[in-house]
Amino acid sequence: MFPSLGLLTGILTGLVAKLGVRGLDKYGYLPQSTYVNRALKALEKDDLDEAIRNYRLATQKRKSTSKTEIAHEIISQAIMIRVAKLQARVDEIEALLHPPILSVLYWRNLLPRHRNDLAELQREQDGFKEAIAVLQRLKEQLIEDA
Amino acid sequence: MSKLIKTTAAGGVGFLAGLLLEQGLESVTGLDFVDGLFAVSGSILAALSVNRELVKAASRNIEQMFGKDPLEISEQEWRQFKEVNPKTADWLEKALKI
Repeated sequence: MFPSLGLLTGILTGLVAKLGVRGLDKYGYLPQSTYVNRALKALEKDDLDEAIRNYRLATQKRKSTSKTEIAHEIISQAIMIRVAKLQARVDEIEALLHPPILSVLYWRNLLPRHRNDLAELQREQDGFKEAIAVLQRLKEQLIEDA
Repeated sequence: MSKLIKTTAAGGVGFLAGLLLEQGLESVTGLDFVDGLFAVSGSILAALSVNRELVKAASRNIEQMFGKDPLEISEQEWRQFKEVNPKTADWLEKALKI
């Protein structure tokens, strides 16, 4: 009634391999390039948290190499590009919300019917500012890890 | 003939018992045993393709920075990129033999 020895050995090998790889992976013992690769893949999917987490794992147990340094630069640059895009949008909204006093837009903004639109823009701008702050924090984390 | 039938039956029972045990262990531990072996090969493959990923990621950054294909950027734009990303630019120059 017992399963064959071959099957049990296969299951045991699979179990040991799975647990072993999971443990090695979790504590940063897999090849450094594996984590660098994962960080870059995460960056491609716009997942900065995952990219930074993998970058940290890459440098946690081993010394920085040219590949990790390049990955660091690439991730930092990707963060700065996002910050620049968000900042451009914040500036754009700022110009709409606070136009010069001598412009038509300034007087138009005073009309009650535009109040809702302006409030919506303000909320959008606040959201972008918050996103910029999060990205800046991520960048600082990355600098600390380097 | 009866020996053959007995062996086949024992093998079948053993296979089913093993399958049940594997399924049971998988449902209890949440682990896919076969996946463990694939994870090793996956990590090795990932390690091997890191250079290609670095080039791809760097070119995506260039594309987002200048809004055009990396092959279309001017000398001045390349210098600008190099100023911000010196290590990446040096590595790209060596890797792509620019």
